[in-house]
Amino acid sequence: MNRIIVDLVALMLPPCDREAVLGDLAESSAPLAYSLFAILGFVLRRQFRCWLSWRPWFAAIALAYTTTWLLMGNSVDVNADAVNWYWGPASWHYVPYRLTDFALSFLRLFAAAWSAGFAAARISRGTLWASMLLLLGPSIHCFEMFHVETHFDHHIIQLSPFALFLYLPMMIFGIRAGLHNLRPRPWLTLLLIIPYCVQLIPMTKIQNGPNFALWTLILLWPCWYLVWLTLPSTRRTKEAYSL
Amino acid sequence: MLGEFEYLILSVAATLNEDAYGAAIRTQMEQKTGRRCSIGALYTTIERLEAKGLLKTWMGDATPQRGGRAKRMVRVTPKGAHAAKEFYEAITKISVGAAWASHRPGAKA
Repeated sequence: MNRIIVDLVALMLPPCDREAVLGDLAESSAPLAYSLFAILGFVLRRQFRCWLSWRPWFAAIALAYTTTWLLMGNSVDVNADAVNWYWGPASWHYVPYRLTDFALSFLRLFAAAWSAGFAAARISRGTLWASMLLLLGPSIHCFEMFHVETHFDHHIIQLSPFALFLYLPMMIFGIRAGLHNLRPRPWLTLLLIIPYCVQLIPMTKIQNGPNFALWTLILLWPCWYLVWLTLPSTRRTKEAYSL
Repeated sequence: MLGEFEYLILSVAATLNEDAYGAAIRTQMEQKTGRRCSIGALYTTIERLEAKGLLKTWMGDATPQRGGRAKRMVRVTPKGAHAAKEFYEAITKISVGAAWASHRPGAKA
């Protein structure tokens, strides 16, 4: 039983450290309380060391806390476009338009979520938990207050608050690639960026003005980080492609 | 310049030679200095020394007395040996003349 508890607490350590620390504790026949304090002490020391660098602060504040708003907006867009497609007029005439809208909003969500997850994991993997907390915090807060409706003829459709979390599965793929030090192929990076640029041009002219486009481009910095990583001068030979 | 704890780890790892790994270093250090050495302090310092290129670590074999877990073996690099030698010489030089130093001028052996 004691060994199970110690093994569970040791999951907070990376695999190679876990192996060495659990082996050392077993070799010295350390009692349960000592083993738990030893592991927790090690975890705290590692975290403290991590936070002395600028990287976790940057990943948590400049990346997670700011891009969460963009990701939530994109998630709701995808959900609204899916609802539009489903409840819209049953005419083949509208299919290409609705399909294009849905595909573009989905690609926008994929680009923002994948690149944000990738950048968070790549910039500071040791404090990924903190970045994820700051990212999910506003989403959970908005979940409680969420109330968005769309209207179709005589129907009023309320979007599900779970739509706010649509970005999560795509972000997990990005995190996985970032943790494995993989990098996207240049063509994939362009595919991630293009939907945003295509969308921003008409939006700048029609709806929200140049400030909106500028802010979106700033919030999209994880995508630009991917572009920078694909440059030949930053490529290391050992790094494999993720996609 | 090394820190005191860094120097202790380098010295113990150098004396243990092929048998230098986490638990052995900790036991030796506690026996020789009489001070407690926590696992967290040991491994974070080993990581720091490795990042500086003063130590090299790798995962060794698993043994039954360790519950089938592998050892994290440690070896002092030539750069580490040089840094430890510099630290030792600096401490020896700066201690000459101090009341507790056995090599102070005029001290009886």
